[in-house]
Amino acid sequence: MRWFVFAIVAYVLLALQVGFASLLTVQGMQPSLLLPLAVFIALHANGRTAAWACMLIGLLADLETSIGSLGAFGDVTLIGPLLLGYFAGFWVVAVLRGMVVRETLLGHVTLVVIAGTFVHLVSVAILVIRTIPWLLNERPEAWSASDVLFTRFLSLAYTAFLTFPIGYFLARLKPIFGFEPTKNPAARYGIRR
Amino acid sequence: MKSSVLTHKNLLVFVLTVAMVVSFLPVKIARHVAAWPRDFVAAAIAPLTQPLRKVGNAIRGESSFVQVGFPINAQAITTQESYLELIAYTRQLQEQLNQARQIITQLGELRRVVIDGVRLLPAEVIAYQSDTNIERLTINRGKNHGIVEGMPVANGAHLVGRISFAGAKTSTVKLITSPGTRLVVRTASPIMPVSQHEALLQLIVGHDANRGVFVARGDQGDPIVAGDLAHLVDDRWPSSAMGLIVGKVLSIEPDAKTPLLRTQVRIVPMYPLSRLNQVLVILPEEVSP
Repeated sequence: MRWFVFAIVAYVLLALQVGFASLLTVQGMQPSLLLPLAVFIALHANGRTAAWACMLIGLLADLETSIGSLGAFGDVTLIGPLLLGYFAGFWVVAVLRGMVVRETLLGHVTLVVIAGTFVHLVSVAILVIRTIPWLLNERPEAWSASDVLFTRFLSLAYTAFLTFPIGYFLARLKPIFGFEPTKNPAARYGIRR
Repeated sequence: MKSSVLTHKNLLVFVLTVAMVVSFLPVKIARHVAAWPRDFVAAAIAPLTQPLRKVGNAIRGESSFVQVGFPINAQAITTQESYLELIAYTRQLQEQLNQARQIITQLGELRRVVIDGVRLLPAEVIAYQSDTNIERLTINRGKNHGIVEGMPVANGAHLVGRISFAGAKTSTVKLITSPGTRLVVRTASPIMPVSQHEALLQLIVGHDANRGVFVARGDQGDPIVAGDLAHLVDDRWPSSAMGLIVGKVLSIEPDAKTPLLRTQVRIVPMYPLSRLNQVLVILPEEVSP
């Protein structure tokens, strides 16, 4: 994969997500424009490249997300929850991609929903573990795991809807990405079929 | 044959382990770890997010620049290039003039309310983000400009929020419409001075259906009417923010639980804070960049 093409596309999608946030936000639900890109990379790139790309996207998502106010700190950003979440999402796509038709939008959207579920489950699980009293005992103000999961799953549905146009454009850009032909990348990580 | 430790798999495991460790760091350390990358990413995407926000606001019907249409004369083909350049330059100047007018208007409004001994730092909004428990704006000013966490932010005489994170070049403003925000305000008629009113309400921002709306319980007989302005009198905020307008009283209805004794007062900000393009950060006068 050509990393500079990936960097440009990720930059543009992140800027669109942040720049159009007030326009795209509906009842507190904000779509993620990076998740379709992560799934697209995981679908078409070889396992090694896809893992690093998904983790980079997760890092960007972490840096653009706030978990809220914690004690004296008004706005806290954590590196890690979404990075690990996106890695989990990559793993799921790597296992399932043999079962979907990669060239179709419907396959892309289906995997966005499945991968997104794992992304949010892993990231929220990490935040919940941080609230355990005998561990860190850090719960952000007005934060509730169920509220966060509910909102994020609604946002995931919104993201899936937007994956149709985004996936279409990414598919048109596929030759520019320069993906290497893949054999069975899941086998590199000990996943047998 | 030696086996190298630096294999791809080992590197991946190492990075995942570091990410796991960083995820569970105490917030005091985790914030510092994320501070520089966060500031870098915000500054890196600012050149694109700023114009996109303006386009987004224009689509919503709140244009921040004037569209000027000039008829292109088909006969003036030889001078068309310089003519179009002049049009583009004129539009650019008009946009800058409009922005300067907005800042002057905001400063004028704010000076009527804010006490002396403060500096007002104009800043452009480069991003808006909304999560379940926080709403925030990112602005293109940071520690390099003298900004410190906790400073109040206004738009004209209207309270916007407080600086919740200050990077080197960008900062984040936590909006007063974030869920869970509690403010103490005093209401006043728009045409009467603040000092002449007595009602004092404690407000709580509601969630979900009431998102972005301040809700408070008052008493029957309070001298409050719809249309009154709510001014900040909360001593948890800096004194430079006292008197700033939090919102306008939208409605006063009987309280659901004790309708004969109490009322439910709903207050909304006068402008949608998520769509602001410019704000003013209120700095103490002695702070220098």
